Amino acid sequence: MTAESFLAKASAWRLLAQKVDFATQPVSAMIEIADRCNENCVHCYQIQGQKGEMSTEEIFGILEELASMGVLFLTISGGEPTLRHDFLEIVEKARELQFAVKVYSNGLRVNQAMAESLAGLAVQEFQTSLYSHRAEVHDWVTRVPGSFDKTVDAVRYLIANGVKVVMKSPLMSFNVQEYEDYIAFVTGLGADYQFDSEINPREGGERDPTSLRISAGERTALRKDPRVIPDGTQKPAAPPLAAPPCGACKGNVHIEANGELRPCTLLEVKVGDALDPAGLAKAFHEDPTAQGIRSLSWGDHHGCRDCDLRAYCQRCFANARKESGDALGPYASACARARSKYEAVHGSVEVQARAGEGEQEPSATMGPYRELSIGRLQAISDTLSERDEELRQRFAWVQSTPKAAPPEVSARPGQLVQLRRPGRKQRGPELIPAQRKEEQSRR
Amino acid sequence: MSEMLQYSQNPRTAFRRMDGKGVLIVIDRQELHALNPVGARVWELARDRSLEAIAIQIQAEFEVGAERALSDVTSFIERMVDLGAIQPSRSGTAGVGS
Repeated sequence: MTAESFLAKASAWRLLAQKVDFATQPVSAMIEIADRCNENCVHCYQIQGQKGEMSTEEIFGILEELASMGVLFLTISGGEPTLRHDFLEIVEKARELQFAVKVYSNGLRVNQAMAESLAGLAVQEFQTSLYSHRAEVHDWVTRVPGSFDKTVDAVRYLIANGVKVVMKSPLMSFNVQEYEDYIAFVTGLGADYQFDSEINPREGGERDPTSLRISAGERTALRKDPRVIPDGTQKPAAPPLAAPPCGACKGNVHIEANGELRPCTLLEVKVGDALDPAGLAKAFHEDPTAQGIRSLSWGDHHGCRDCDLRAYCQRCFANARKESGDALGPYASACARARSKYEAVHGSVEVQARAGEGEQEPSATMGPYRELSIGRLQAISDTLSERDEELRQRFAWVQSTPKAAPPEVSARPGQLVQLRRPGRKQRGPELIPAQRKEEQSRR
Repeated sequence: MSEMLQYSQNPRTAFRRMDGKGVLIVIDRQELHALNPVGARVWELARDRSLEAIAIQIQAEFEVGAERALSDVTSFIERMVDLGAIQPSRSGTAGVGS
């Protein structure tokens, strides 16, 4: 028994992956404490005001249960969590229970006093969304004039008080051109940054936000920039067929604002109730739907299991369900992302249509694919088995009726677009702020 | 009444028992450490207790000799103090601890 034998330092997830079986031990949780938001972002997948919120006491009870389940990492999110009058009390309770707490907030209500409080409570990380280094673009996204200034002020207060800040931005068709300026701006503030190139359909299935996705060429180019994705050009290892396709219902407990348990923030499938009188742990571990999701592997995904691009694929149950109506099959946007990832690794990609189909057949834009040689892919048949049918029968949530794909929108800076905001009726056309001339000339 | 050092967990940490072991995060350093079951227990005992008090408890729970328990607890606590995970404080009491 020595000091060294007590102690081993390693990166968090590698260490935890070695020590913990995520199928039985959740180590993280996200709790959405507010079902409301003071921004109205054009791309947001959430629709607030339809679930309701838990009381302070109910949230405290859930935090105690999560602690006793062994959860260490807790993200407090919303909606906008700081809109709750008891926000700081909830953070304080979480810290008393020795969680490593991250707060995900738009920062509009974070003033010097709140920044001091969060620093005093030793919040591990404050995550906030800033959609551009230009105020007019950010405010256009949020539809809140002055939101850019308030969020940036919040970041300054937090950093001055020693809180780690991560600024997150989805890269969309109207802000992707300026990501280098964004990096310079954010790092100049002393914050870290995190990009996401996935834009998700909304709760309820409406797919309007997906019209803001970046192009395949832009995605490939981003993957080659190590400031965006550090290892984006390295060939990944293919997951074994027995491996799960994502972390849904494994390792992480996701709690909606009303206490509903979900596999993750995107998959609208109830897998128990955090306020269940029998206890949160029992709900998490024993809910039959959660157990079913936990049991699914790549081998249960028709088409995907036969695809040579599996190593490059980050398919998602929720988006598959909303885009194709089948959570266990290929869907176009995941296949496009996998091809972009493949192209970033191998330099180019040429896709041949399935045998008997023309080169422009839409099916060639969807897998599964066979790699004929490096850079040459052929779309192959998606073969369904009796077991696939059995899985569909067993898991009612797998199938849904997808809503219509949104019309093609050219949402580029300086253009007039008609977009629906979350939870709002469609309004008239909106002008996306143009790039500044000096920024255009630099490119 | 002699003054002696007592040791407490730094409140700017996060900790959880997982599968008998401990996972500890020192927030201000953004560092994560894994503690074996004995280390995790020492951490849990570090609540205004002296080295001697912690060592007595470890000796009782893990069936090690008194000398070795004190020696190992001392070196572990020193390491934890270096890492900013445990804080020493002076106290006028010399009891076994709460």
